[in-house]
Amino acid sequence: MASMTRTVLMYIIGPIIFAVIVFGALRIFNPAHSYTRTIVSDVVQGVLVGAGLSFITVLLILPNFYVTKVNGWTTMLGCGEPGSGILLRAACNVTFMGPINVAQEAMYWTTGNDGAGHTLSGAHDYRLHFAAGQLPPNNAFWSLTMGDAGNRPVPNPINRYSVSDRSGLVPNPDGSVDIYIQNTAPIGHESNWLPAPSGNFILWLRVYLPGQTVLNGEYKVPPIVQVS
Amino acid sequence: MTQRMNHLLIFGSVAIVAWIIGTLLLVYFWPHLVNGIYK
Repeated sequence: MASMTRTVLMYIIGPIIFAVIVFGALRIFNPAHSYTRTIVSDVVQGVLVGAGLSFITVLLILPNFYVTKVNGWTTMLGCGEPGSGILLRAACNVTFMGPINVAQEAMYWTTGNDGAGHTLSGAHDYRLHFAAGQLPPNNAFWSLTMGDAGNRPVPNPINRYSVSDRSGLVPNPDGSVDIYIQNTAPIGHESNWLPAPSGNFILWLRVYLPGQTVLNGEYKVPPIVQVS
Repeated sequence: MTQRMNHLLIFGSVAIVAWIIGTLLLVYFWPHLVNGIYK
């Protein structure tokens, strides 16, 4: 979902925006252009610049008014609900591309950064620590899914692409749960290992039939902490 | 008004109008486009 936004931005919108900026700069700052202009070229270039600004406005600026970012995790409330408004609908479809459920059915969080704001990379080891009793509250199940920079599943020796409440996670003696997010298996903690690629990656947390504390925004997903 | 200013005025006006119309169109049609891909 999010990878498609990145792909669109990177390969389609990006070059358009770059061309628009160069176009606009030439148009404004090159005096020689004044003498070769026609009304048609003014209009064509105006439309191109306006179109580029539209993409910037909708794909880069608009979602920022609606997303909630806590501990590096991005989520959005109100998606899919009737009457939520045309702007929120567009923002939801930019952030979570593709069909998604209403919050009462499922909540989604995504991140490409650790809690300190650094890009997640397989060059480092990370830990996601859920304090005792602080696993995502739900009436169905939750899962934490790994995706590479293109949001594709990451091949790994144990064929594990996500961890969830059904993965047999081993809690710590105090009842808390650590999830080890790293490229190589954590010695002694393999059961709680979510294999990461060697390059950059993103994470998705999904909670189905989320509990009330999720729905009212009280529940905060803990940050991803870089440990090495 | 110089010729250059005239051209700049036309260019700027068209760009702003295209920006507004393009934004409205994109806001409306983007969800349709995206959801259509996943159908």
